[in-house]
Amino acid sequence: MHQSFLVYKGFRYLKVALILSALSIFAYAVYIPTEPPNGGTWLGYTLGTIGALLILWLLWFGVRKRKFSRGSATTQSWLSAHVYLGMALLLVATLHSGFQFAWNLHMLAYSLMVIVIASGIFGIVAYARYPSLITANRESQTREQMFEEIANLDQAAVTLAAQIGDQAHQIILRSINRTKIGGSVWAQISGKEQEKEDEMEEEQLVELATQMMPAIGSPNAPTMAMPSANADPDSESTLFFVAQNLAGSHGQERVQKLRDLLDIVRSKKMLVDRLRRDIRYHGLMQLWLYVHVPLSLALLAALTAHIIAVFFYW
Amino acid sequence: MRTLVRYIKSKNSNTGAIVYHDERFDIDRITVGRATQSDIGLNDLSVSLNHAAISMGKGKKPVIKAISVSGFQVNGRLLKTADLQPGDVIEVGRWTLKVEKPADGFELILVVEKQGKGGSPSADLREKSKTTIEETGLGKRSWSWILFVAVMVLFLIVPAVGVMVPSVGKLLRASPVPSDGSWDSGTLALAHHIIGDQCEQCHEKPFRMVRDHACIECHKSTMAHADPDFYSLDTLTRTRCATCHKDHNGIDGMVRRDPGLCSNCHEDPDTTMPNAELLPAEDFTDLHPQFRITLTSYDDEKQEEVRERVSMDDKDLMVEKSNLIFPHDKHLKPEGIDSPSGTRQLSCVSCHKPEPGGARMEPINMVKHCKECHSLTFEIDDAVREVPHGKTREVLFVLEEYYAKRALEGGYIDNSAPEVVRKRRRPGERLSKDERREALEWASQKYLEVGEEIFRFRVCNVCHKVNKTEREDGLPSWEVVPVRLNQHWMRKAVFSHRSHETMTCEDCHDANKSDTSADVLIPAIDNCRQCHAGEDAHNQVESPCIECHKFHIQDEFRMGAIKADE
Repeated sequence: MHQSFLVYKGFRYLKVALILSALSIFAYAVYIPTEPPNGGTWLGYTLGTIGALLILWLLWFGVRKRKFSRGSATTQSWLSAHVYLGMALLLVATLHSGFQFAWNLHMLAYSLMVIVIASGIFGIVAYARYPSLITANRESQTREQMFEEIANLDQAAVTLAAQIGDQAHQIILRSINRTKIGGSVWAQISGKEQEKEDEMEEEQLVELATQMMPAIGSPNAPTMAMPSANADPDSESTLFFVAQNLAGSHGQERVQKLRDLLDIVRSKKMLVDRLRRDIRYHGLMQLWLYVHVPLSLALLAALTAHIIAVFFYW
Repeated sequence: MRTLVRYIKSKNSNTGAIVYHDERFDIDRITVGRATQSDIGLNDLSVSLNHAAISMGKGKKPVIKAISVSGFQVNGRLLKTADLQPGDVIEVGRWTLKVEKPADGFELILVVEKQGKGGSPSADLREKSKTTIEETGLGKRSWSWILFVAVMVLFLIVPAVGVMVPSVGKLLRASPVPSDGSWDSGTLALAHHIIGDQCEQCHEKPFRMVRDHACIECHKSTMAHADPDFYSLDTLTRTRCATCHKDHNGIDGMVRRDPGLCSNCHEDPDTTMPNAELLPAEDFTDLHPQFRITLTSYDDEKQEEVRERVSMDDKDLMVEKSNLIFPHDKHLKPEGIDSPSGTRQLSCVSCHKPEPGGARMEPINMVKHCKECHSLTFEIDDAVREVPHGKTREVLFVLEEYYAKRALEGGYIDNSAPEVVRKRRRPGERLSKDERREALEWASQKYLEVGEEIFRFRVCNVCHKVNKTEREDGLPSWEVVPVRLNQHWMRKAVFSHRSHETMTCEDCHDANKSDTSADVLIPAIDNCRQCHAGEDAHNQVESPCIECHKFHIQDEFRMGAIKADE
């Protein structure tokens, strides 16, 4: 049965981490240094050594997880230990600093460590949160199937639009051309650009309906209360308002086709939204690693420099 | 515009053989679209009926302009109009129109091909969409290396080069690029700010702890703690300065304040220093001897000051031998005292004023503090003339001259005086020789009488001890015993009145009830313990040893003078 790495072996590594933390706090509380608390007291050196060894060991996880078969411990047990001891490191390193913070190399190492740990915690949250959201959002479709369905809807829309008229066809073509999925990291994660695109799509559709009016050739068309594209922010209801009005006029067949087209466009929009959410969730699940891994290497460099520097000027 | 349009019908992927047919135009405007009347007909629903038109632009270059709102792509960019260059690829729906180099008299050559991808106009959406972070080109590995190297170079290698090559170091320190200053682990002690970023001033050699001579270079006069021969302790002779004084811990972080600094040796001095005859001390609350004050007296024979440290528990010895007669209680009477200017209420500060430094009090001055009430007049009918204070010989000179003058002037009212002294003289009247002798004889007796009176019974004796002596010529004289106030009560401790200025004097000094100047008004340890406590102070002032005691106190020896290891 599947067991989360968080509860691995009855929270074995949580216990280890808690014991390490408790011992560190106890030692910090009991030990009275001859100078203000700092990394250079005996306790400071001890906690610093533990912290440095922890960082090396935590970094080794990056190597270890690529070798599934080697060693007696499973990758899951490594991950469990990695997560809990990584969080304990935050405490050990903070006590090592003696809460002395300044604008220097040592603070750089500490800050990098904090960011790496924070990104790791985000990773835990992401792994706990997004898989279920992804499953729910996908409605048992794969990403490929979603793309395929979008393509099918586009195909249906363009066919239908060609039957309605050249202008309708042009607008649908433009809409298809402008549909963007994913993009830059920011676009994948934020959805900001997509919102803009969506608005354009809505506008195009209202435009489409507006332009349909003369195509129907209704005698009362010019006098109809026809909202402009910009007048009503609730464009969707505008669409249906237009569609309702069209229904009353002659050219029933084209009106029916326009309704069908609008249905297709709505379905596509929902599908595109779902696909974008899927990309966003996957992006968030991956993105933290792009912080976690490079900064942990930067931390290794800063840690090396930190250790050399403090003994250089002993 | 002479134009050649080549339609690719099929391509053999194995042989590379192409099947095509060409169409030639020489018209100004070439239309592109799905409509059958289009010059370039693109038969697919991804193309509008009238999609675009190509004509010759101003710069003798063909220009494509969209007719359909959906536009087209040129080299991947969605456009409505574009100048065409050889090599450009126009995408209209599933069709591509490739612009070739003009040749054979054709101004525009287009190769038109239908892309066989998928079954719908948006089939390539999947391909052109970046849907994962990998696809955006953001790499973990490359970033990791870049950051690793950047941190190593900027914060280790560059500063290290700066240390090895001083000219580079100087340059770095003046620039925003990290120098060895970025290794600085914390603020220096305030006095060391004068060293600033000159790390090498103290850290002379890389990877070696700071040596004492770096400290003693400036701190030449720092006293040792104790006589190293008498206390031959490793902790005194072998300890580095930096063992206790660790810098980079803030502006006042260099002084050890932990109890261990003293208690390691002083908690049980009988074991650690058997010959020292020191009393055990460990914590101001838990283990600290009663104060031992230094009392001074004067050895008349040897003519020198004698100091003695006495425990304040020894009540019988708590006597100040100042030779001054001064009852504090009379002067501090709450109802006040009579003075020439009326009733005056004195308080401690009427006489005791702190020194500018605030640690001790300014000396008491008779003329300034006492004379207003304690006048030095000696003649009952003369309220102006006074004897000088502090010089016994001059007192007698003044008296002798004064009474000689009075005798010769006459008119002195005293029944026991001879007639010549009592008689008033007329202006211009001269005394005979005998009269003068008689008058001066009286005066030479009178001044000694008055001298005895003021020395022993009326003026000097109010505050001073007075001894009667004899002059070389056999005449009597008087001698005031010198006042020797105790100056330094606690020679082993540091106390400042300034840091206690929120207290009242009476909080510590019981002067109101003291009726003799022999009383020692210095408070004992219990008084201090009301506010001060040791390490485990609770609602009290936490007072480590260093609060009152100094470490570097042995003024005969200097730090660093007797180091075994250097």
